[in-house]
Amino acid sequence: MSDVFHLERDQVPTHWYNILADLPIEVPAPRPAPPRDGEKRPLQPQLPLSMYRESIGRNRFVAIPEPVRAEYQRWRPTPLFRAARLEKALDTSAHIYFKYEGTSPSGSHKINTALAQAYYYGQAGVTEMVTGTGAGQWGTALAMACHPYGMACTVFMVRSSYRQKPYRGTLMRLNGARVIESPSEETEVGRAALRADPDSPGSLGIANAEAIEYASGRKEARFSIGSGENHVLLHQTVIGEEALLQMELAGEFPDVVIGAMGAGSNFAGITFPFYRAASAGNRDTRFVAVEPDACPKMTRGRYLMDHTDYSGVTPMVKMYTLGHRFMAYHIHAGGLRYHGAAPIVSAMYHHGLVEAVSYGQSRVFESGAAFAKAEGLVPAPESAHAVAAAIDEALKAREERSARVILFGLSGHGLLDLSAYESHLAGEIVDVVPTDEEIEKSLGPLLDSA
Amino acid sequence: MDGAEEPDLTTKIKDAVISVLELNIERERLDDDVSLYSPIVRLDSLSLLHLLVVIEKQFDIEIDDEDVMNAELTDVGSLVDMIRGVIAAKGAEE
Repeated sequence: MSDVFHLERDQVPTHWYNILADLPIEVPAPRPAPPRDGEKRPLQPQLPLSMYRESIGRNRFVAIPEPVRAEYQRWRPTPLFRAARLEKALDTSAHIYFKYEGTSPSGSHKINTALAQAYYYGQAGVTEMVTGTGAGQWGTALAMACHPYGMACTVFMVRSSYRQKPYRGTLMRLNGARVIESPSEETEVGRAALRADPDSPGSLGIANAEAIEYASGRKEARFSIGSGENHVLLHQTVIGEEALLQMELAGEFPDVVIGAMGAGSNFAGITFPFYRAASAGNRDTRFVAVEPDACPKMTRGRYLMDHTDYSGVTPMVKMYTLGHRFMAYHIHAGGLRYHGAAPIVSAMYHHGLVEAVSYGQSRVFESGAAFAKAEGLVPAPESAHAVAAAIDEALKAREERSARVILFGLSGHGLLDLSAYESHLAGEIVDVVPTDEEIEKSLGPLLDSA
Repeated sequence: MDGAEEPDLTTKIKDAVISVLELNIERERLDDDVSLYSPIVRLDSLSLLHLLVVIEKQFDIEIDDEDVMNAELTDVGSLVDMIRGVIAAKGAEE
């Protein structure tokens, strides 16, 4: 039996899947940003209207523009593997499958939405895209996506990752991007963060706030984001749509689908199409989001209206959050340090349609290393969170002597994260967990105003 | 019809803005020179897009990305002018 399930190039999806068409619940609408001074100055929409229109509609399927699909076809469909050697190593009766996004040019799933966004922004006349990036995967993807459309790209990269993963910056610069360590002296937000803490490790909230401020001062520049917005989740569903076909080839349907949880795009990408298929087939498939102990927005956060950026200038959305001023301790999975969960995923979690678990990074790296040894692929630290949960599911199946079918998203490779794995091998990985008091303090202003 | 005058396009657009943004104000307060950032309108970039999507449905139009990105939207008048322009262009095509 084959352990890898390939699709043909012409099987790259022609449509993204919009889960809003099928959810039995309402996702609360955003609340406008706080009133400003009322001065007359141009109001610049940051998103192309055509992209936004699709992301809030109720059409079940949204056509992928042909130029975007053609770009996808440069490396998609991505492979789906059965992790047979991991199964053997775990001595489990479970069948473990993973969908591997590390074959993309940027090495992760992020380019699925970066290419789509670059296309829409370019069509709208934007010439420079500006963004914040955590671990650098999103910044890398956007830099690569801007290049074919002739657009400039400016990336504010969270300081802790900027220094820890210098090759991410190299990759972005190779693709023509300007990469700025955040907090920076380039913006008011950055300068304020540095005044408050000159040694600040930075956060995605601050990086995004800097990017927003930078873009708002430039007429043909716009802020772009690859986190938990509806359109980002929508674009990532190419992952799950392919995986549905590949699981058909494997002749199985997952009992549980697992994805690492930063803001939610990777999780949504692998799970949403299976949510549709499971609902249609009356299956009891579970959907598990895996977050780090260091940033437990779902497992320990609150379902509240909150800003998506550190400075609080963005509209508020209802989400599981630790508060937009929450500063997660440094962990190697920098892409999972965002303070909030996507509004759609949050609403699903609130209504019991998805589950969430959290792991400490020592356990995550143990799992990532075990997976690498068995399967020969090094998972990104973010992706290794999903590996950890998949291993636990497989071990439970062993205890229960059940033939559980497990699918997880391996959202990216960890070949630019080897210094983190070196720390693991040296026994230097430290688990960091915020206290209840720290979380309550961060949430305080939101609870007071709720 | 009871003889009441049909509201003009500007009035219809302003009524739509008040309704979609749930402003709870009389139309008369929505003067053309009121800033979109003012506490009366409380618009932000995302709310603007939401407003435009609803208005597209109400007036059966589709607004081009470039029209929105390039518009100098500073006050209520400029917003109404942009929407009027799209509606007029559609009328000219038909």
